[in-house]
Parts: sequence; structure tokens; C-alpha cells
Amino acid sequence: MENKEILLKVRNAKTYFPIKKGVLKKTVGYVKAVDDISLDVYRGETLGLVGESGCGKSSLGKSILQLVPVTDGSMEYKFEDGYKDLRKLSRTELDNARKKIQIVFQDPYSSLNPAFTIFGSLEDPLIKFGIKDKKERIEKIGKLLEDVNLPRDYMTRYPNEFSGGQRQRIGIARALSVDPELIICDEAVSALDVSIQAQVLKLLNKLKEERKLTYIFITHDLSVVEYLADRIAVMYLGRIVELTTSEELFANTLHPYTKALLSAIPIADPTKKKKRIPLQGDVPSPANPPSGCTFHPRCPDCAEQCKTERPILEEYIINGVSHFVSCHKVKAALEAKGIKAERSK
Amino acid sequence: MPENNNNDVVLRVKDLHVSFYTNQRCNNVLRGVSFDIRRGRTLCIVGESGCGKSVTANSILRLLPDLSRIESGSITYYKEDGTEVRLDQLEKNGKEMRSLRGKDIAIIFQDPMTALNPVYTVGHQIREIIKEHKPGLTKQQLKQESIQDLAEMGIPAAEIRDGEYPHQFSGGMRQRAMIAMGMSCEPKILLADEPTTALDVTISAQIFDLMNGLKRDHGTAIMMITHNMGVVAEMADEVAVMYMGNIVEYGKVEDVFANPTHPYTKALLRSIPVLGKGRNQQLEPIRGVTPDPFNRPKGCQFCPRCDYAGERCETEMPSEEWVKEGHYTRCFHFREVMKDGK
Ligand SMILES: Nc1ncnc2c1ncn2[C@@H]1O[C@H](COP(=O)(O)OP(=O)(O)OP(=O)(O)O)[C@@H](O)[C@H]1O
Ligand SMILES: Nc1ncnc2c1ncn2[C@@H]1O[C@H](COP(=O)(O)OP(=O)(O)OP(=O)(O)O)[C@@H](O)[C@H]1O
Ligand code: SF4
Ligand SMILES: [Mg+2]
Ligand SMILES: [Mg+2]
Repeated sequence: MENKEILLKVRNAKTYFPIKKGVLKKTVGYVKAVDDISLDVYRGETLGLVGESGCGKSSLGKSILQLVPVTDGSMEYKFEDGYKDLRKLSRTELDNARKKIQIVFQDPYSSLNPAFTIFGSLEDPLIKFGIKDKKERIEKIGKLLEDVNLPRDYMTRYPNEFSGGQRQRIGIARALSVDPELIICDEAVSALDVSIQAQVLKLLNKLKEERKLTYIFITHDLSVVEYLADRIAVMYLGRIVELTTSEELFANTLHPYTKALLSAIPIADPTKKKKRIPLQGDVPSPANPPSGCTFHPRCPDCAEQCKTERPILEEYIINGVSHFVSCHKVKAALEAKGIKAERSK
Repeated sequence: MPENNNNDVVLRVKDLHVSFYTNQRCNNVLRGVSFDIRRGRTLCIVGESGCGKSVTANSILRLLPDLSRIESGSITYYKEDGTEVRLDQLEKNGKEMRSLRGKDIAIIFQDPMTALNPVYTVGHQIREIIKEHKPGLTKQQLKQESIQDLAEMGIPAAEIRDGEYPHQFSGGMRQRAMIAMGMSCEPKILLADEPTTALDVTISAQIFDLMNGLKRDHGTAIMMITHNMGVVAEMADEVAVMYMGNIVEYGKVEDVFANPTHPYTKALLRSIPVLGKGRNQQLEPIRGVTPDPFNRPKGCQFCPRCDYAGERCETEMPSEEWVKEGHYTRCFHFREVMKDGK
């Protein structure tokens, strides 16, 4: 990133869901879905967000759009008249912000109104957007559908008449329809076959170049994120454990969790039934996270310090590239690899 | 497919035609689909989004929506006691069909929310299924089983999760709850429709191990729909490649991957992104677009996008041709395709 214009500044964001028990529905604890996350999103970049199921990726995405109650922290978005905390916007301001920030939901079905045709669903935002002429709207929606490899006249169909992957593509078309600045894509291509996936990924990249679109791309598919992302954030149990450019992450993987994640990728070759290095131990519960480093019970490099002391996300500069990592053993990892790194600030 | 009355076959789909009637138009979604599912083996179905994979799975359990019809063909279930049940002739929601669902043939739906009821806890929904399969369990035992099922799926704090509602689950957890429901009855046939799209590789691997366990210990036959070629390579014994309502290539997974004989298969295998090449890699989507089902090509459905297409392809749909034992293709020019290699 040459000119790093920060579009979104997330600081110490926390989203806790109460756990209720008994007839009186007393709160007995919290699921810490997002637990003290800070990160910057630059204009025009694709930020990949990866991590195992249940670690809080969707919750972070929804928190940014204020679609779930955020417990604490700030999320400053750069509007025409400067940064404003999305948590503190008025109703109308938030409605406006939600035009600039779109989300493609992980579950595409529940996000489409079953009573409307696709045209009906996609037309509404366009009218609000100021496209008064119906012909023009039809033209625009038709073009969007073609962009995601769907025939134009599918716009007269209802959501339940589509296959899983078709619905997912409609979700993408809808997000693109209002010319947003930031799109949060939550597992947006997970149901697509490799060819259509490639087509959609190319489209997203093209739009990024043309319109300087920004993406937060949530996925568990590392080959997708490697292709798309400028930077990758790795999440574990509600926190970010590693964050750097895509090239740097694959070249100098520092966090033991990221290493395990990368070792587990299946390859499309039946002659090589691959052995994985599975993570030891169970996935801990975000309601009752382990002490110290939350990864310690499963970490092959775990030391005494890790069991009691929570590591913080620290920035290192490696060959001029910023690399955030949160691990007590990072010095040893750097030395073992013979990497020279400076601590930033 | 030639008659091969191997008693390993538990389900035979033959020349299945299914159409949807919406907007006063008829969409011939399945156009003569034939395959066998065998005891203790895994058949993976791959193919372009919208080609009819889910419709195939839903036809077997007769779960198609009202505006659709099985036009012709047969779906036969071979029971262990030797009786044959023509699923296509059963009453859709009749007693017999209902008793087969879940118990003999289970399905894991592509969309978790169609299977999960938002007003009941996840544990309750799993127990409803176990109850059918193992009558006579006490409440306590049932609860233990449902909790264990969730735990086996790698869901942390399963005791708590058991009492939660679907909306409190993450996307991947919902998917796993549904897999648990599908597997809890140790069915004879498990139809899994994109079961792990929301799951990372570590957890998918754990679930595939469980599925392989069912296969090994109970001889469960698995039909798995997936678009992930890594999963196919790992799980499949046989693979069927679908395009626009037909199986265009079928064979042992090693054969199909090493010697793709259909231009679509070949193009599909070529468009897989490879890890380690980063952003410099050129993704190669198959050229052209998916044809409009209401405006289909006359001959081979793949013709407008095919590099091998000749004159005959434009007017005639190729029928199944055997390349070798257990490996067939639907392409007039398969010899050229094979000669060119991968
Ligand atoms: N309820 C329905 N009404 C009308 N058409 C339908 C319905 N369900 C599916 N179709 C159509 O049937 C075709 C096949 O759908 P199907 O769901 O089997 O695709 P699929 O191969 O599973 O695709 P995907 O990989 O995207 O899930 C699609 O073109 C779809 O639009
Ligand atoms: N509305 C909610 N109410 C209660 N708990 C919730 C809610 N939404 C999410 N959670 C919990 O928050 C945690 C994080 O969920 P989230 O959906 O963010 O995970 P995720 O990383 O997106 O996972 P996946 O990859 O499976 O989609 C999970 O433990 C989940 O059960
Ligand atoms: S039959 Fe013809 S058009 Fe169809 S796949 Fe083969 S070569 Fe291509
Ligand atoms: Mg999610
Ligand atoms: Mg499907």
C-alpha cells in the first residue's frame, strides 16, 4: 500500500453474547465472540479474515455493520466529513453508512425476501439510490446478473427457485448494486464450483481496481484468500493472532496456530492422500477461554509463560513489511528461521 | 450404464428426468441421470453451480417442491433383506417414504436452515431423530447421545450448545449440527449435499473420518456432493461429473483425475486455484457462460463452451460411451480429449 488511507479503524472491539440459563433466563456468562480486536482497513485493499469455525469471523463482520449489539470499543469509518464511530451514529446516519458498507451474508437464503422476485429485491435499493427509470433499473440488474454468470431473465424468479450457488451469486450481485465502498464478504464464494468461483473472484478484483473498492473477505479457504487478499488476519477464539501481507504470511508464518492452519489444506490429487498435522486437543469454548494465551492447550510450542500470561498483538517489521503477531515464542520462531525483525514502537 | 446386478448396489438411479414448472415454463433440470450407489463406497458428485446436483439428491428422498415432477426414469432402493423399493413410485409423504427417511436414507442439506427448526433447541432436534432410531432410551440417555454427537463434530462445550437455538450457532456449527442429525441414525445411505462448505479443513477432516467410520463399520453408502476437488480426491471411490442436467463423466476417482475424458471435466480440473502461487496465478474459468436452461443448446450441452466441439456436437447429445471398465463419458471427441492429456 503506497498511500495508506485508513477507511475503517477498529479499536478494542468486543462483542459478547450473553449465555442464559434456567426459567428466569439469568445470564450465567458470555460467549466472547469478538474479544478486544483492533485493526485498520485501508481503502482499496482486500483484507482476508481466516480462522476456524466459531472463532468470531461473522460476528466481527456483523459488529462493524452494527447488526449485533457491540459490547465495547470503537469502529471509526471515514466519511466525506471525516472519521465517525459507527457505534455512535443516529438511525439515519447508520442507514446511510449501510449503503457505503455492504455485507454478503454467509447464509444467502435468509438474507433474501422469499416473497419478492430477484428484481423486486434488488430494485428497492436502486430506487433509493436515485435510479428513477424502470428500464434503467432492469438494465442494471440484468447486467449485474450476467456479471455473476446468471442469465438475465432469472430476475423474474423467486429466491427458492435457485440452487445454493445461484443464491450466493445473487447475494454478491445485490451487494454490488449500490456501488458501495466497503464490502464484507462472509464465505461469499463457498458454494461455488471452481470455475464460477474463479469468474467471481476475477470480477471482484476487477471492481477493486476500477472503483477502488475495499473488501473484508471472510473465508476458510486459504487458496481463495491467498489469491485475493492483500493482507490476511488470522483469528483464534475472538482475537487476532497474526496479521500481515499475504506474501509475508505464507513466507514467514510466525504463529503456531497459523502454521497448523496452513498444514491442513487438502490437495486435489487422489494419488497423494495427505497426512495432516491435526491440532491436538479440543477446540476451546469462547464462553470459557483458556488462561494466558488462549491457544496454549493446543500449542506445540507452549511454554510456562504461555499458560498464565496473555500475549499482546505486537508489530514487527520484517524486510520493511509490517507483521503483527501475538505469541510469547515469537522471538524463538524468528531466530529459528534466521529472520531479522525490528520491533515497531 | 450396463446392467450389473452386483449385490453391492444399494441405490440405482436410472435415466432420471425431473422438470420444474414455474412461471408457466418447464425447466428440464435432470435430463437422464443414471448412477449406482454401492454399499461401503463413496460416490462424489461434482459439477457447475445450478447443474442439478441438489435436485438429484432431493429426488431420491422425494423432497422436491410441489412445482416439480419426476417425468421418467427410476430410483430403486435395494434393502438388505433383498426387497426392492421403487422410491420414485412411492407416495411423496406417505408412510413408507417417511419411514425410510432418516433411518435408511439420510440427507444432509446444503442449506442448514431448511433442516433446522428455529424454535427448537439443537439438542432437541437431534434427539427427535435418535428417538426414532433407538426407541426405549431414557431421557437421560437421549440427552447424553445428543451431546456426544455434537462433541464428536468438534463443537466445544457441547453440554451448553445442546440447549441452544440454531441462531446462536455460527454458520459452521449449524452445518455440523445438521451433519450430526444426518449421521446419528447410522443410515444405509447418506446423501451429503455440500456438507462442509462452511468448515475449515481441520474440522472437515475430523468429520470425514467419522463418515469413513460409518462406511467401514456399518457399510453405509455415501453420496457426497461437493465442489472441492481436494475433498473429492480424499473421499471419493467413484466420481460423477455433472453438467446442465446430465452426468457427463463417471468413473473411479483415480481414472477421472488422471485421464479426464470429457472437455468439461478437463476444464474444471484446470480452473482449480493452486495454493502457493499467490496473486500472480492466472485463474482460468471455463470460457463463456452457463446457458439459459430455457434456451438450451440443441446438441451437446457443453458445445458452446467446448474447445473440441465439431459439427455433430451442435445437433446431437452424445450418449454414454465406455472408455474402460467403470469409466464412461458423454463426448463425441473423447479420444482427442484423452490424447491431449490433462
Ligand atoms: N424450487 C425450484 N424451483 C424452480 N427451479 C429450481 C428449484 N430448485 C432448483 N431449481 C433449478 O434447478 C436447477 C438445478 O438446481 P440444483 O439446486 O440441483 O443445482 P446444484 O447443482 O445443486 O447447484 P449448486 O452447486 O449451486 O447448489 C437450477 O437451474 C435451479 O435454478
Ligand atoms: N446471535 C448470537 N447469539 C448467541 N451467540 C452467538 C450469536 N452469533 C454468534 N454467536 C456465537 O459467537 C461465536 C462466534 O460465532 P461466529 O458466527 O462469529 O463464528 P464464525 O467465525 O463466523 O464461524 P463459522 O466459520 O462457523 O461461520 C460462536 O460461539 C457462536 O455460537
Ligand atoms: S460432445 Fe462435442 S461439444 Fe460436447 S464436450 Fe464433446 S467435443 Fe465438446
Ligand atoms: Mg461465520
Ligand atoms: Mg446444490
